[in-house]
Amino acid sequence: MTALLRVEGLSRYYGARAGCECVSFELDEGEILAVVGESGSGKTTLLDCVSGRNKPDSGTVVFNTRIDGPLDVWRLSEAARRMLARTDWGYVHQSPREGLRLDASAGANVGERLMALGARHYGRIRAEAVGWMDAVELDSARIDELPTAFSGGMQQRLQIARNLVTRPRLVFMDEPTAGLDVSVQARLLDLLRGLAGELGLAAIIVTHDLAVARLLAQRMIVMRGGGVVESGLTDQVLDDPQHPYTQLLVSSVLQA
Amino acid sequence: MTTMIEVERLSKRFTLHNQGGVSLSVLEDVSLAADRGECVVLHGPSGAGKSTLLRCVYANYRSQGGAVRVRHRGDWIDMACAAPRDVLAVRRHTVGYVSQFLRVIPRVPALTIVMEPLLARGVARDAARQRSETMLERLHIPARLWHLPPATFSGGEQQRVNIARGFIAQFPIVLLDEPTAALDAVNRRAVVDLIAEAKARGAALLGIFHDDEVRAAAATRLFPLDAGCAHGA
Repeated sequence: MTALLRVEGLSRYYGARAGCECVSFELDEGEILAVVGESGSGKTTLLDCVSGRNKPDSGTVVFNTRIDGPLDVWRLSEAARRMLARTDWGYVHQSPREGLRLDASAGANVGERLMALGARHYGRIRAEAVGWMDAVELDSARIDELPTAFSGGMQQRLQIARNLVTRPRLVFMDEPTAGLDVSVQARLLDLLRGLAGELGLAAIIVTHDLAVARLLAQRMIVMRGGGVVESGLTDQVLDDPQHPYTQLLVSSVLQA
Repeated sequence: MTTMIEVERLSKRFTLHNQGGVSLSVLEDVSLAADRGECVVLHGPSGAGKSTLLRCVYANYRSQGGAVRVRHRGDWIDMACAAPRDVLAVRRHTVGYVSQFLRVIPRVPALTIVMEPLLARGVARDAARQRSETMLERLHIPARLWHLPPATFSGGEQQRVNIARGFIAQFPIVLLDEPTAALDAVNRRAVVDLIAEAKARGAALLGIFHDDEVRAAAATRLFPLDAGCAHGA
């Protein structure tokens, strides 16, 4: 079985400091991987290097494309990498304001990726947008409103719809539930869990919330100081942590 | 007679790095086997490592030495060193685990929790729902609770949802960690019946039961575990 994504020896330095150093992992089709660790541990740098947003200093990121098979993402042309990011990949930002066009309607936000792929039939694009707003539990009657009229939780769901419209096989998420009320968070997590199962999505989720990792991810890696200190099945890492840092992380969570 | 679980010279130690590096040896050199159609009951005092042994078989815990083989679709897989994707396949198709406590997830109703192992194996939604409803009925969970998340259920109700989830997919191997601890007599009997049926269809079961009556009814044989001792099969 060929992995959907294979990352090998990925490093990115900021001057002498390592953003991430010598990180390797594989991801299968339909699998969700959580990347956990405290602020500054290199989670976001890793996500950006893997998702084509921040060029690594060394290492390879090989994605198994639908048509051409496994390709090294950082050896593709800029245009080809952008095309991949718009079609087979999605990227959900921590702040929906970064991932949405705030001056365009909700419907236009969802339809944008389809138009970038050459869709021109207005009625069909609008119908797709309505379908995806329903799928993420947004009232599609509000399709013509600006995202700024939506609450934070609704904006986050709109950002997810905007990413899923091209049916990507891999979605990158940077702290998708941080900054939301817990009730809104629970709804979003439930939605993500359902969508991942139904669509067979693979995802890499950066989070500092171990409960989010347990809920969504089959596997996880624990980062500290730019390196991976432990990896394995999510329940294994959380229930029987081996590394001193992972033990500290797990034992520091407050029980509600 | 086919062996389904084969634990060989298993050792499990916990090293607590943030408590001065204390090392706790919980299992040392444990060997045991379970065949199709039998229920082997781990027997010993609290702290002897019974739950730890079950968790090692499920690969929820890692081990420091030895092998934990399970028969998965005709092949032996060593859960102590299997790749994550193989462990997930074993959990999807071969080994079911009823933990002591149900882990409740906000917004996920009881019926869905029970259906999930079937859906993961590709059973159609309608068939999965029907089988799950029948199972919940057998365990006396009233229909008005099926569509509610179990967060507000009693301890016994939560445990029965957990048991339903563990038995629904008729796994060839079932691990049971005190499934009857919070149950009344009627529901204990329902669980004893489920265990008897699983044995009859040829499953291998490995269990922990503190209730003498249930243990006597479920066990094909006992496997003694004592704290800090080496064990033989």
